[in-house]
Amino acid sequence: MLEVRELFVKYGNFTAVKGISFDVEEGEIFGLLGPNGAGKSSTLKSIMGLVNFEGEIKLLGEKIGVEERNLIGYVPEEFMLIDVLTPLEFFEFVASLRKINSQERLFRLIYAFELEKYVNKPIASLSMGTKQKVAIIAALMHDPKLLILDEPLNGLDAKSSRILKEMMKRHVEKGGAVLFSTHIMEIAEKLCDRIAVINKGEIVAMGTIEELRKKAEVEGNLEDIFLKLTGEDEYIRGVVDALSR
Amino acid sequence: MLSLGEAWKVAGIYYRNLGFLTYYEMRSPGLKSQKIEDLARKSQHSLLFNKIFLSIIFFMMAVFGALESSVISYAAYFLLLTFMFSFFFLQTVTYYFKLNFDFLYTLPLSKEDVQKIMLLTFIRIFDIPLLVNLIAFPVVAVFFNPWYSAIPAFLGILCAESYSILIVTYLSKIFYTKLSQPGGGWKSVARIIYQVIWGATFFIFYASTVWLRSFYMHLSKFQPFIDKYRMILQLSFPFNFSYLMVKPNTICIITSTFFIFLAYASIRWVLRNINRIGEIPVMEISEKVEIKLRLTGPIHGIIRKDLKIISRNPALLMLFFFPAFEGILLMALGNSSIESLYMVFTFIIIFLYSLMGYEKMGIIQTLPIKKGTLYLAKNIIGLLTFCASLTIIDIYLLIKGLIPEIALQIILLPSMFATGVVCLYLGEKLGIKKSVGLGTLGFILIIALGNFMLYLPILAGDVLHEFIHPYVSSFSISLAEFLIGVWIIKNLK
Repeated sequence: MLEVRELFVKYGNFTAVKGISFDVEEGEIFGLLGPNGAGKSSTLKSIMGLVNFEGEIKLLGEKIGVEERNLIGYVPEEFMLIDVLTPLEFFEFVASLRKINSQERLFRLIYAFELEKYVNKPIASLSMGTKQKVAIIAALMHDPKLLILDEPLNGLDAKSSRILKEMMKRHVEKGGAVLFSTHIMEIAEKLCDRIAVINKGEIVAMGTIEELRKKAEVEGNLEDIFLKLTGEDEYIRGVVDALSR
Repeated sequence: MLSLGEAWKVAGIYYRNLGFLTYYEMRSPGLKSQKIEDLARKSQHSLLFNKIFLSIIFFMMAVFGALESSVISYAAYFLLLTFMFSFFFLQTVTYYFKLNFDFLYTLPLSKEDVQKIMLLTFIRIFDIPLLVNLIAFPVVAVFFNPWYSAIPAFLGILCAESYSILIVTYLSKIFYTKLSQPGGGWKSVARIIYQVIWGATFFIFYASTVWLRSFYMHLSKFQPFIDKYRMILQLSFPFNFSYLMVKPNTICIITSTFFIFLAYASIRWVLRNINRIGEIPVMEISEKVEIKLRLTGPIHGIIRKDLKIISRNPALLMLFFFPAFEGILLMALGNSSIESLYMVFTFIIIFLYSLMGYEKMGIIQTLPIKKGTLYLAKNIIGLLTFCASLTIIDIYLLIKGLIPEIALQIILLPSMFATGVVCLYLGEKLGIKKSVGLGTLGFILIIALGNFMLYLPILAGDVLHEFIHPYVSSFSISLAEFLIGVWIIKNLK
């Protein structure tokens, strides 16, 4: 469904993403796993056209233009909400631009995420978790084919977190695809069909958990695999030893 | 316990943040982080510049008032001071009530320390002009009056400043707690009235620098009124202090004491409210909410969203009314309606850039919307502003007994639309992404080109008037420009 080829993202002299390539297939949850500043968000932003990039990005064989954006639901890491509006006004605005005629799905999402009590409050006054719910609903309201979620579980309570994870699973069962970034190993391990481990702007390994395990030659969980692949296991041991002295 | 010096230093950090918030909101929401860094630096200079500018105006007012050296000129000075002080600081104090000092409570500081920092941050908003007034006016006044006039001059200033701080704090508190919340009906009306006053600040100061001298010179006309109602005036502020400066008497001493007490009570009220800042934002959550959605098309959706943002954002609303204010001001200064029209246009372009600034790095970048549709929606709002400004200017002309050039204005509407589109398009191409790019060469070029485009229909009317009716030629050019605008919109992806 999504093809990313030789992607470079530069901010002045700093290269955040260094020529990465990957595909996201229909019916799969693909995870971008990496530490803070690894280049995950820059990769997702370039897919959405939010940053300048070099390389090729295609959705269903087409370059991502205005029309293709309607096939994507995007939850950014930093809120892209309009603080002076209420969630309801914000949804109306997003729905009008997505040319949505039916309110039914939107209502279902509002009730599923228990947002009904907050729909008439200014977004600026909402807690981080509630703002995240607004961003998620805005991304899901048009039932997109591809979900791009940048650290989507940040700030969500346990119930909403579970709902979102279940929705991601159902979404891929229906033939959709999910590309999401996280630095939380347990989530990636439980949810993802395939994972790309990204570090310092480069993909250091990509595949299923089993494939990654083989590559890292580690028998542990995803955290162990990740640390081995990024070469940070020895560094961590050193730091912990120093702190314990 | 934090020493005063330490607390002043910490208050300086919060004050810088306050300045940044005010400046950022006004100019460039949606900027990239590097640009925000520049903006943070500029905001500090701007804060200082504003305070010095204001102090100079107050000093000029004091000098002019003293030059006239009459009860009415001193009273006018006190009154002007009260209202100008309130208006000028309304914007910053409104943002002050949005500041969050909670972080300080996580540090090893007592509640009194935090309150001291909050108060000093508040004082930092007014500090330089506050001191300039308190010193300059009594000093200037003694040159024209007996030495003891410095005492009522000083006390009168103290009262004027206390009342203005009371007014500005009350209005800001009301705005923050009641008006800035979403809601229709009376709230919308009150919000707009408040924001018009908020926005009028700039014009009051702009006008004051131009009219200050003539204002004082015209005060002598009111002398018969002063003589007739002397007794009543001695009982009221600020005339009691003025009489004390010129002809002291017992009644004025008594009433002045009362007004000094009132000033003290005002400051007590202000202090109480500053200390409550942390307690204000309590969100009411209702269990039963009726959800009603109004789904519209993209253009309608963008316009509705923008109008809501404008009505809730004082800075944008000010820019929305700016063109009309500017037009009237220019005409009052003797400019022609056509000259005013060009200034109106310039401010509409600044307004449009500000609206576009809200979209940068915002959600709209991720939505399926063509740039052309976005430009169209923004320009419809620009056109609305243009029409509203023209209507206000025309009403002003009619009141003055002049006939507005309505036909020409209607002819220029298509041209205005096209010019707006071209300016936005070129602005994007030249990389003017922030809202008010004044000072940049690119922006000046765009405004020059825009003015030329808007002038072209009038020029055509003048040049071709021997062959064809000026309205026909002007309208033809205006229409041709409109078609260019439409073509750009249709072809923008």
